Amino acid sequence: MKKDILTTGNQHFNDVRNINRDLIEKALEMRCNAYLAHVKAKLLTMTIYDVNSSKTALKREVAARTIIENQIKHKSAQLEELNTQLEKRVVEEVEKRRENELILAQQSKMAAMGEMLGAIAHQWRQPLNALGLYIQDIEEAYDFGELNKEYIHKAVTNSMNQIEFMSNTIDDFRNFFKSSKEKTDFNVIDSINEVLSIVTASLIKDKIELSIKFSDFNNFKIHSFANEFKHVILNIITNARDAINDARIIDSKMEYGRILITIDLLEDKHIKITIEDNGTGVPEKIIEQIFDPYFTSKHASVGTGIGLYMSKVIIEKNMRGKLYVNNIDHGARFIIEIPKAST
Amino acid sequence: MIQYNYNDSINILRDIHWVGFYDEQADLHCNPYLMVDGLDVILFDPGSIPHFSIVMRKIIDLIHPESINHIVASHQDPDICGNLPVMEDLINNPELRIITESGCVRLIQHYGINSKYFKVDKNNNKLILKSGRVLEFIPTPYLHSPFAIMTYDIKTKTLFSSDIFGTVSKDWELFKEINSTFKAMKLWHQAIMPSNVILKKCMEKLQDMDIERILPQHGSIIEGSAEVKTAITFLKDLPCGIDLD
Ligand SMILES: Nc1ncnc2c1ncn2[C@@H]1O[C@H](COP(=O)(O)OP(=O)(O)O)[C@@H](O)[C@H]1O
Ligand SMILES: [Fe+2]
Ligand SMILES: [Fe+2]
Ligand SMILES: [Mg+2]
Repeated sequence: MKKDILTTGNQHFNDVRNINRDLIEKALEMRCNAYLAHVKAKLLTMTIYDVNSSKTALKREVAARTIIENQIKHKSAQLEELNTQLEKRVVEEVEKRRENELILAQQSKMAAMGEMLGAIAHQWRQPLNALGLYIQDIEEAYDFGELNKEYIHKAVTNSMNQIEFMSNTIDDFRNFFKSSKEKTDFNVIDSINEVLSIVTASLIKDKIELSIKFSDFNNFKIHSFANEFKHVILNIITNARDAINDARIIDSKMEYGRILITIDLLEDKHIKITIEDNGTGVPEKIIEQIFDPYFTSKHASVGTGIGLYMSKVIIEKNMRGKLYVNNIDHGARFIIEIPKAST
Repeated sequence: MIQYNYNDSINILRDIHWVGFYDEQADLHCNPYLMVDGLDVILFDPGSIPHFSIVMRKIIDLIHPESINHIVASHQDPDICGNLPVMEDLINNPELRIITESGCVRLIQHYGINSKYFKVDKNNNKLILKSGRVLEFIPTPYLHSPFAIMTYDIKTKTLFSSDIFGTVSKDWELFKEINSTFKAMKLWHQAIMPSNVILKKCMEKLQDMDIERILPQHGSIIEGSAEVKTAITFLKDLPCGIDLD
């Protein structure tokens, strides 16, 4: 019995011990699991946080990139704007240039017109005088009873000749200022003669002798704008006249002015027109500038400084030729080289 | 023959306890030990997560877990360090130090350890306890971990040998006649140790030491200096790892 109680007691003690062990181990296992769950949760939150922060980092990066992109866009827009502005300015500049050129051409025309008016005045003086004489003569003839049919016919014919001459001068003048619509074949010598017919009278008045020298008339055909070419010749001749008149002021003994026009054929099928005068010559310190627009050494009421500029433009740009100057012993020499018309 | 109750902790010496889990299904048995030296409590190779609840219960039977202030992790393996984070969490002692080798720190921090480390190589391979008792750490590189250490308790001449002197066998007892363990010891060492060249060097070193008992992390305790010598002699010439083909 006693042994039974002891065994049972022992049994009971062991059971309690085992239950205790199990309980503690269960608790520790739970503790362990709790810890691991906690670690997992922590890991999860960290992961979520990481994902979030990498998301925000990504967002931030995207935002930064967007800003940079926008900046680039803005910059390239600015650049584009600048470019268009530049283009616009180039166009404007070109336009302005063109306008200036037009103004210059207009001014040169006006200047030439001034020259021409002077020339016409001289051109008309003689026929006007003649007409006046004829008309006076009619009155006298009547007084002396000489006014018959034959006389009248002769007076009318003479008067009509003068009037025709004057009318021609006007026509020349008018033609001169029509700008050539298109290129034509024309003879350089004809053109020069047409200019001379306009300016001769004024040259005579200024006691200037003009001579023209060439070898073979038929060889000097060019294909270009005829009127513009005449303007160039007129410009150079009037400049020569001015230079001669200036030379007279310096040297009062100088009697005759001389202008010599020589037309030659160059080997490479260029026509060379040399216009020499015995004027002042071009002072060395301005020789580089005389082809610049608005450059003039003359008094404002006389000089415009456009003539040589326009001449150079016409010869070199429109006619693909050359216009240049050098001084000779007593005076200046202007040389025009233009391609001959291909026959 | 004494019958041991493996359900409870087992006193090896007055102040050294076996706190392991006897898993009858396993062939590899893990032996964590607890040393209680007054104010210093040292836990050796606490083990894995599956072993945690039993190991901890046995510890709680002996002391308050908060009093543990050192854990020796002889190397980085999961059968040693697996439950370290849970262990330190439950111990909850801000003074707790993990004793290990510097190179090992680099690895075991990946378990998610929060405690501070006591790096043996940075401390002259010595830990002096508050009582004045000295624990010596013996590096045993490549046996089998490059960072492996053993702990030698000068006072009791006890060697905590970690994986060395371990056995692998279903037939396990904490104390076993030395000659009956050689087969399992051979099996274990040939499987896990890299080469006799390395093992021999270690044994030669141990030959000159005064060792009363060896407490391996696996297998059975080797009690008595003569038995210790026998074991050392056995391992000294054991070909293992790359020696075998
Ligand atoms: N034959 C010349 N002899 C000397 N100087 C000349 C001659 N032709 C032109 N020049 C110089 O070149 C300048 C520019 O001529 P031009 O462009 O025709 O303008 P402008 O005759 O209105 O002055 C003249 O002012 C003058 O100083
Ligand atoms: Fe190991
Ligand atoms: Fe191990
Ligand atoms: Mg002029």
